[in-house]
Amino acid sequence: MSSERHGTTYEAAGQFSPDAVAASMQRNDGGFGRNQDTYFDHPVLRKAHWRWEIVAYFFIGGASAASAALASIADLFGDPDDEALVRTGRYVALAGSAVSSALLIKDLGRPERFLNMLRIVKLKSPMSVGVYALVTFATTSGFAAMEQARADGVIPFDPFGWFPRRLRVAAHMVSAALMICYTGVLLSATAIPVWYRGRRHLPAIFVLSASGAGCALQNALLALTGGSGRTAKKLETIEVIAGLAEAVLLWDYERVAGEPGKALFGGARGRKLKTYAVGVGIAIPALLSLPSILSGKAHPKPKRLRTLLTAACALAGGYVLRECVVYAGRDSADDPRAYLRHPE
Amino acid sequence: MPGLGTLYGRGGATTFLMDLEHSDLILIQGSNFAENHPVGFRFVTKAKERGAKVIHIDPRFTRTSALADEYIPIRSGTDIAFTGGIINYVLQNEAYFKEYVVAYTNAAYIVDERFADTDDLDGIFSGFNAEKGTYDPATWKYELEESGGESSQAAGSAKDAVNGGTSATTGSHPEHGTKRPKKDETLQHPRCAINLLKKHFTRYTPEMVERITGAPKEQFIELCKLVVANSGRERTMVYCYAMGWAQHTVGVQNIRAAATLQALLGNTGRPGGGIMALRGHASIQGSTDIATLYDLLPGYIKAPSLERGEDTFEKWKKNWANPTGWWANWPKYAVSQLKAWYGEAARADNDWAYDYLPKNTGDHSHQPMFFTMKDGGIEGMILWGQNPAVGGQNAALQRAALGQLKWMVCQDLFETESAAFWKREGVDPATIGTEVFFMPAAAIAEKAGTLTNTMRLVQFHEKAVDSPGDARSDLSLAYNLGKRLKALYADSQLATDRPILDMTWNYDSDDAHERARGEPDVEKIMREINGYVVETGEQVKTFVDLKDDGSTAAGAWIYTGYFPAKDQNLTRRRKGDDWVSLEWAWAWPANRRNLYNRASADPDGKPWSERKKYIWWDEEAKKWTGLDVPDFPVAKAPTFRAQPGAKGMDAHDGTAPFIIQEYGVAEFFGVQGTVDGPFPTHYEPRESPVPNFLYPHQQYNPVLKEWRRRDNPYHAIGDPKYPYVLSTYRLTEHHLTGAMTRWNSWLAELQPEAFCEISPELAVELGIRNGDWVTISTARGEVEAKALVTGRITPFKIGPKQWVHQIGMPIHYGYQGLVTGDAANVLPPLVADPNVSIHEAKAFTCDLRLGRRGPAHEGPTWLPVPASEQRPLGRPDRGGRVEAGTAHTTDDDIVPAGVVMAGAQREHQLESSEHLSIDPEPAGDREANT
Amino acid sequence: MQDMGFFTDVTLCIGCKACEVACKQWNQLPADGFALSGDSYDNTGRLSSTTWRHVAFVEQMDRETPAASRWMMMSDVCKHCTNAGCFEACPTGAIVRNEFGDVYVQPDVCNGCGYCVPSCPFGVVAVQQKSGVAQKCTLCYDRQKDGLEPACAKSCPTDSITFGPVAELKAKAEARVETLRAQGKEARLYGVDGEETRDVGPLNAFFLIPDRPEVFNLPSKPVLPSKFQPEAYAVGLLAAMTMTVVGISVFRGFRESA
Ligand SMILES: Nc1nc2c(c(=O)[nH]1)N[C@H]1C(S)=C(S)[C@@H](COP(=O)(O)OP(=O)(O)OC[C@H]3O[C@@H](n4cnc5c(=O)[nH]c(N)nc54)[C@H](O)[C@@H]3O)O[C@H]1N2
Ligand SMILES: Nc1nc2c(c(=O)[nH]1)N[C@H]1C(S)=C(S)[C@@H](COP(=O)(O)OP(=O)(O)OC[C@H]3O[C@@H](n4cnc5c(=O)[nH]c(N)nc54)[C@H](O)[C@@H]3O)O[C@H]1N2
Ligand code: SF4
Ligand code: SF4
Ligand code: SF4
Ligand code: SF4
Ligand code: SF4
Ligand SMILES: [Mo]
Repeated sequence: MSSERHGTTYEAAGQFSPDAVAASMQRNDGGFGRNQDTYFDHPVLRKAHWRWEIVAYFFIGGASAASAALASIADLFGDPDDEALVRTGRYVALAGSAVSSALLIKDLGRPERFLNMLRIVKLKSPMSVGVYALVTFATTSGFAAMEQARADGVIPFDPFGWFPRRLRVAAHMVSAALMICYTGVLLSATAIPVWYRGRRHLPAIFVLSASGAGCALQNALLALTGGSGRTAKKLETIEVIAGLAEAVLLWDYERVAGEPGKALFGGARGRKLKTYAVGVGIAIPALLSLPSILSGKAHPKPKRLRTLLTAACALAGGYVLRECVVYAGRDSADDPRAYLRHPE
Repeated sequence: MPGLGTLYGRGGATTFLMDLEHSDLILIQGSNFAENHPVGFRFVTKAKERGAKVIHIDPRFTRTSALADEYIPIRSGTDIAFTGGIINYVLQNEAYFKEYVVAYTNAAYIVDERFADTDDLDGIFSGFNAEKGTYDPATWKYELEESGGESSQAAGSAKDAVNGGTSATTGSHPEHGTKRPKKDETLQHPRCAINLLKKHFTRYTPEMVERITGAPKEQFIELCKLVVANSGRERTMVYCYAMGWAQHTVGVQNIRAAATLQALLGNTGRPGGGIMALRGHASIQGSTDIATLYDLLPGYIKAPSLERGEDTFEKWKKNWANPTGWWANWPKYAVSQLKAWYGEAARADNDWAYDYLPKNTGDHSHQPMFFTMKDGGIEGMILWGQNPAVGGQNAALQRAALGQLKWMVCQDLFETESAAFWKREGVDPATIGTEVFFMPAAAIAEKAGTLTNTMRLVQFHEKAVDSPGDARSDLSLAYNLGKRLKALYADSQLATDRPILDMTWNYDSDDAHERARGEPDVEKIMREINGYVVETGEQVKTFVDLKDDGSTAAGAWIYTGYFPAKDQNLTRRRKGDDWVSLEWAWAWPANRRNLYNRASADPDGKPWSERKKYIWWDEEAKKWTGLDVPDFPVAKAPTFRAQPGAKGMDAHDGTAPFIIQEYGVAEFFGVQGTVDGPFPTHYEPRESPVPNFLYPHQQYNPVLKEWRRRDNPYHAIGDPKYPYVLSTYRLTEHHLTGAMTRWNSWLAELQPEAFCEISPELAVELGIRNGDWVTISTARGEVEAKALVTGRITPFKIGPKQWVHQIGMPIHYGYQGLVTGDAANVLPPLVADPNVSIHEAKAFTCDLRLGRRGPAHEGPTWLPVPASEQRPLGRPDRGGRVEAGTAHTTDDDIVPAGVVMAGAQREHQLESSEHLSIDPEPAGDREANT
Repeated sequence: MQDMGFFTDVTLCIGCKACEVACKQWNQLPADGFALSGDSYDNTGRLSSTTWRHVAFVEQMDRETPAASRWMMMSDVCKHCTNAGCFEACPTGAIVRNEFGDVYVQPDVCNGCGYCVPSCPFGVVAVQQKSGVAQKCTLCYDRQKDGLEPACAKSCPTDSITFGPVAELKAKAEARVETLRAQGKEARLYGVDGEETRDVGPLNAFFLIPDRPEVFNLPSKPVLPSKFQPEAYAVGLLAAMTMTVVGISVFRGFRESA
């Protein structure tokens, strides 16, 4: 030991493999500048601070907007026995937009910060567009709810009754659509690799999963409030179509995202996404509802338990999807190679 | 630094920072220029942009190396071998600047035949006195011409040997009288200085250089070629150095070696040439000018010393007033100084109150002072802007020493480690008797005054704001202390109290606000330093007007001229140009920026070349002129020839640029001024794992100052328990002991923790990973730090067989402040260069291990030392002697360091670390000892 | 009014960090913490909401050919992009391009929504917890208005950071690259007209670097997020319309089948 420590017998040349050195320096470049491809692995980008509030906001905003859309469609194109759907759809829309606003304010910290966004309209900023989508959605939902309340005799008269009805419904529908669309754009239009690489998928995926969630939510409520089996069947049909489309898009997203996509599709998060968002959120509901969809005749009384179970699965899946996507953004921002090595 | 003084005459940097831009080759060695003088470094980068080459020679790859065109690694403590190698290359290839060397140096002077070189005496020069452990320079002399002037035989021989010539100017040798040395202008005589120089360095071959320093031979030879190619009529090279050279037991000789090379190549006194000494604290130059050193009075006038028998003014004068050369003016400066201090009381009939001056009785430099303090020899201390508990070598000993004081006054900006030494780790305050008074100091922006920077530039700065609370300037403390002492002794009749009563002390501010705050008027003091005519009281314009008859008073002759009229403070000037900037502030002497600049012209007074034009002789105007203030008698024609027996400056020819020197020439062969030999010689540091390849039987500087005591143990040569070389240094982010930076969050976050830099090779060998805690230990104590594993540190291949690992450690950490850490200074021993008593913090040995240190880390430094062992300076044997037979003789058989050690141990009993390694006792016992 | 900006020359930087400290002092920003990183001499890591100048230390030590060893220092800062992601993303209009052509966050308007953060392709701007607003280099807007040079440039001893009209700086920079290349040294500009400017446009704070951008954590192809919006909106709306159609047809389909 000591003679070796003493250094008289020690030969440095060759004795130290760069890897041994690298290990001692806990650095991939061995401090000798070999294959330096980042700066000490420090992140290049900054992650958004978003946490569960935003996940919940995306989810609830999406589901309630979808409900609104379904209500409007049912209102315009549905049968008399779809009225239950129209009712719950309208009320859910109002409640949903209220909760969404609350969540957004929670994320910002103070209410006036929310109002601050209304200083200007800025089409270039998805955040700005989104805020106005939310505001208009909330307002039109308010109108719709009021109309419904009037119809249900909860309030004596509808102050906006004079407003052309079809226009109202259309407006509600459009604002709901915007509300559903923009969240995907909000994420896609950033510098975060895993997100912007999904710009051709994420917005659609969010729309589809929102639709699915909307159907599931309505179905559940109808099951509880005793809606018609025909409505349930319609909703299930839409839900299954949306679900399958979503699954296909997710698969393609993973394909094109490549290496940077790993933040979402790789590792534990990837497994979570596939098990819950796809497995629980899409496959199971589809399987559970297929029989009734395929059976030609519409059963008068929907099977309550099954419906509730299906809905629960679909809703859970929708939430997990958004959670995975939002949190994948954090990891993606922290990984310098995702950005430096794979520019688009 | 006498290293420059012996050769050129003055110790200050020969040039100024802006001039670096005009250099063709910048050698930075022993300095981390970019990190420690970042603002000055801008002129290096500018030079680079203009196409100059920059070379950095350093044990570590630093931020300076990063900006250099080439980096050459060199083992700490081997610079003389390196520079000596270049000198040898230049001499062997006859590549030196002939005209310059013959005319402007003592190359042709013939040396006394009794002189014997290290090669003749196995590693020591003639005149070694083993009893005292010092040299008697009696044989370091020239052969004088028989005829020509009287020869005054003064008792001045070896006067500097006793008392390390801290002087910026050379020791003089009046015993020569006005006789002149014999010369051989053909340079044929075997004993003329240049031939002795050549002989001295012949063994410094590229192979030897590589073997000793570890610097690759090819790289070294390339450098030699570069150096030669960038010197001569058309081109110039400059040397920049700092503590990497100074902080060694051969510190002065390190610098002298470079000065020798620059004189050989004819680079000194010319634009883009010379030697840029990069000094320390913002005004450290000022503090040596207006002497904080114990053996100097302001203006580099040697403090009277009884060891030199200077008990009367006459004897003092005899020792320092050269018959020839600039120091012939010495009496004018000394008398004017006494006049300034004691006014009326300084009269011809009482030798200008010479008796008032305290006389040195020994070595009172920092290190011996702290030993005396530790042994209870000092009662009280005023600690003024210093932090020895962190900045001092063997810091734990210095902390213990503070605990032996009865009282200590500390004036500082913060409660430093020194102010808080009594509550440091492992100490029970109850066991410390020292009464500590802390006086808050005003910081630079809170007071007006001057700073004299590294290029002798005296710059005035205004006060920006009042200092907070009770904080006052140091000046205010000193001034009011003086006033109170005067009041205290006001009605004393005792003669011994006269120095206090007669002292000039009238600097009250005329500004009511300042007076109320007790702040004196700085400019009043500056006027006194500048000097005035006693009769009329009007300011003296230049030191040429100073008299030795008491008609003038001046506090420091070198500053005379910076306040030439009552309302003319030239240090306030701020008019710069892109080079010499003569109207920016004021530089001593006489606002000259590039010293010895007469050498920028050939002997006939014409510029050596158009490209390097600087100062020249104007035949019409009959005077010297050019871009700078001529550092030469302005009207003395190049053709002027000194008459035999002439005195003062008249003894110099019109071709003698080094006006301070006795003969007006640069002296390769240093007749006096350095006490460890007339030539630089390679010795290993006091502690080294490597034998001395050049002089196997003389390991280290035989006359270095050391203190062999049980509280200051040294490692034996090549002690296997301490295999690594440790070198300490600075970081840009911190300042020295950190008092001005570790308290500041913006700076602290940049270098937040104590660390040591080690090579990946050593890290792998010891299983250390980047960021691990490691413990560095010596016989003095141990400290812990985080390991910074970096390829910027390389192991050195020494000789055919040996690999030496060097570890680097910043000095900035301590136990007070916002961020703290162990102080590196717990590790080095107290040991000093014999000339200027500077410590050897740049190279000593240590051990390194993975993991954190134990609680009692201050080692044996606590032990009180029995009177019998309280040996002062010097030793009864020949230090560093390695017995014949134990050392290696041929290239291939290097003795395993163990054997060298055995040889060494036989003769330094006290040194063997077994003998001294004392297991750390429980803190309680230690307190009992203090 | 011509654009004012920075030319930061890595080959002149001595890593003294004066710029970092001058910035913190002038803008009274707090320290980021006191821990040794072990990453060369860099203990502040990267730009943050409270570190607006950051000096990176890149060690390239070569044992085989020591002469090839390098230690590069690079003082990073907000790039003040021509097409600034942060600026485009801001919903409140807090981020403006001021009269000096620099990208400035108005603290009194910012609501801390944080959308500018993931929208900056250089990871510069960040929301500070305490103030709750987005913070980054202001290019010393306040000093410029008073005709002063930015604090960091002012304090740079070697003029590694030079401040001035961007047009002039570019001329200077190109000349510098020529000289270095003539000396056989590696040198390229980052942020003048390379592929890195494809989307974000020329940078008002650009750099001279002697190595690949990645070595300094600079993206060789920084993205401009707004560029992704058209596709994203299209895809989203298409999906929404499809689902509407599906919905309508499902509801209708049933009506017929009844
Ligand atoms: N930022 C900052 N600046 C400072 C200071 C500070 O504390 N902080 N201190 C000031 C003061 S007081 C002083 S004295 C100066 C000191 O200025 P420098 O002398 O530059 O400071 P150091 O870092 O002590 O040493 C310089 C270099 O010497 C190298 N070295 C060590 N041993 C040897 C050797 O044997 N040979 C050679 N060739 N090189 C060697 C070290 O590796 C180091 O890089 O700096 C002044 N400037
Ligand atoms: N191992 C090792 N040791 C070394 C060195 C080394 O390289 N290696 N370098 C040596 C060198 S070159 C030097 S210069 C010394 C420096 O050693 P010190 O001078 O002891 O260290 P500093 O931190 O400079 O101490 C200066 C003190 O003055 C205080 N101060 C600042 N301004 C004022 C003021 O206006 N008035 C008053 N009263 N106080 C003020 C500061 O707060 C600080 O506490 O260290 C030496 N020690
Ligand atoms: S610290 Fe002061 S003296 Fe030292 S380089 Fe910086 S400015 Fe100059
Ligand atoms: S670098 Fe980032 S923060 Fe700076 S202007 Fe560009 S986008 Fe905005
Ligand atoms: S955080 Fe402030 S600056 Fe950034 S986008 Fe939101 S409002 Fe604009
Ligand atoms: S320009 Fe001003 S704000 Fe920006 S980095 Fe420099 S000092 Fe900081
Ligand atoms: S101040 Fe200049 S030299 Fe110092 S680190 Fe910043 S950019 Fe580099
Ligand atoms: Mo110093």
